Amino acid sequence: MLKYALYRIALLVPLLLGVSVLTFLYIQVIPGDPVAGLLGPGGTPELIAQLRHQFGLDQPILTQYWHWLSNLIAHGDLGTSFTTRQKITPTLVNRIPATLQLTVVGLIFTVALGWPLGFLAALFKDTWMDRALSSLTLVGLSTPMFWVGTLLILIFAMHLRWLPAGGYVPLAVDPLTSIKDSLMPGLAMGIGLAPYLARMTRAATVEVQHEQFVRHAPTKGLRRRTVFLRYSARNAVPPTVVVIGLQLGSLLGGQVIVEQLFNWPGLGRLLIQGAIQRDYYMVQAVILVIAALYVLLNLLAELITAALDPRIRL
Amino acid sequence: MTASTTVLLPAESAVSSSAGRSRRVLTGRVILGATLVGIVLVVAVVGLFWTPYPTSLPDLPNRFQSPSLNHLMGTDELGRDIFSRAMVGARTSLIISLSAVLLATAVGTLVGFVAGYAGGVVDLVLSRLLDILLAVPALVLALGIVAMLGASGTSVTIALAWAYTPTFARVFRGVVVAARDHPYVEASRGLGLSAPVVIAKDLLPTVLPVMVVQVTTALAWGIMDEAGLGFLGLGVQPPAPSWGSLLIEGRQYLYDAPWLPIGAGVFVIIAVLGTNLLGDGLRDVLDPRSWTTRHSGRRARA
Repeated sequence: MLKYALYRIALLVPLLLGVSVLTFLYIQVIPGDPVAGLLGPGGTPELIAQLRHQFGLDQPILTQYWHWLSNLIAHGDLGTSFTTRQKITPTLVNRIPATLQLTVVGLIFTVALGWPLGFLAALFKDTWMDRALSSLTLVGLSTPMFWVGTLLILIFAMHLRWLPAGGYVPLAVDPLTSIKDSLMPGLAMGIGLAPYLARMTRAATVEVQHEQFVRHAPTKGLRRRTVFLRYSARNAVPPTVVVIGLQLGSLLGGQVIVEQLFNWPGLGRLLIQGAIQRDYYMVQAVILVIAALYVLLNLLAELITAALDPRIRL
Repeated sequence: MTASTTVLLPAESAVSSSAGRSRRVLTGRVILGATLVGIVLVVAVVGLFWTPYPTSLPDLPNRFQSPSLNHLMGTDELGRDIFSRAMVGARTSLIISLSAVLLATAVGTLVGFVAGYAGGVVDLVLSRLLDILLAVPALVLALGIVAMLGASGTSVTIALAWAYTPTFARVFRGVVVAARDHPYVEASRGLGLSAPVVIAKDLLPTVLPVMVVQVTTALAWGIMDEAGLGFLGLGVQPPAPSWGSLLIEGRQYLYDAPWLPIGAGVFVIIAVLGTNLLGDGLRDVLDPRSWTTRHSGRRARA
């Protein structure tokens, strides 16, 4: 297991290096001069040239990349923001706890909704319950997260007044309020992603139910509940963990929207802010960090699967 | 010519017998999905010529009307009818998602076929490149690209196309790899047919169903992501109506007029639901991978 884990972690290095090249290239290759865009109509050619020099944009791409990468590796320095002229790394690091907290709450809701619905559908396969659940998941799959979030705000914040419509308190400052604040955005993400997980859980469970050891179990006199919980559901879990890992991409993508809707000061809002202000280095840095987060969490899901299912490790 | 037709025959019989179930194209899902998509298309086309109310003229006495028979989805801060604006917005949203998906299909097909058919080093390099591209979540990537290009309909189209292309390429590569080593393909190659001919005659018919399903599914993503980017203020810019821009306009008045974002959202849901139903239905009928039930869940490391 340790060997497998180390092998998988070693594979991340070239992947993340590739992502860094890519995010860097996006900025360079896509047309439009960032500095001219930043200065707007007031930018004289001299001013633009001066700023370009200041940001090192007048050097060859390879030099720029090397400069950027060596700073990143040696000092963890992701560059300087175009608009605020401040170092990006501290700003970014400040946002990570908020983003992770929301990711975790979102994941909890996704799993808490997706697994039971999927198992239920598989248990009552081909009955009205199964059909009702699969219609529900299809509608869920087709509903944008921001729409769900808006609806939740209307219901829980404005109508019932149970939860705040937005805001964030760090977990370390006031754990209770912090968790309360993260409930609604987390639920919005959960409702957005659970349908797909429910679908995959149903498919995985149904497949296990066809296996011989499951069909054989009732003849040993085992109760239906035992067969389902110990045999079918248990063996269906590892493949769904892989699904959860792959879904993290949608989770982090959707989180950008949810953070904006609920005023959650995470990486997503930093990205949007940077995108609207055309703060190229900021956008580049946030994309890189989100990608790293995605790859790491995805790896975590794969390692959990490997721990759950020894066949994967072979 | 005769050679290649005789070679094709066993493959066709193999496909039809392995299905082992009725392959009616018009299943319930396909019909329901096509109906919903049809409704959205009709609304979009009618919106080109006629809307219940003018879409850009302010009607201040009637601002913030809640939904009623006169205004099915209410009115906005300038008294404009949301339903009418959503009708017009349908065109923009559909064109953006359709163009993005078609662009992604074109590039994805090229890359996927080259990687899948060539194999070896080419496949290895392209596949690793796809891994890297796929490490950035699609919506995050699209956001970044829109940030570089500046918010507009064209930027959104390019950004979404770029974000979807790796997924397309990977799916198509997988299908081509699976089809490449069939005896009938090897036979064609053995007969000395050139790669483009083998691809067009032997591989395309096998891959096409998967492509149709993939394109349909991606259309649903496109509609959803266009609206999402619009909601973030990075899509088509107001006052031009698209579903996305209607959402961003509506968001400011969430507390006074909750029907504003809800209304445009309903359009998005109907369009996406229809497309998803269509995609699911077509997958059941067309995608050979879904014909066998014993195979989907265990591909843990795929």
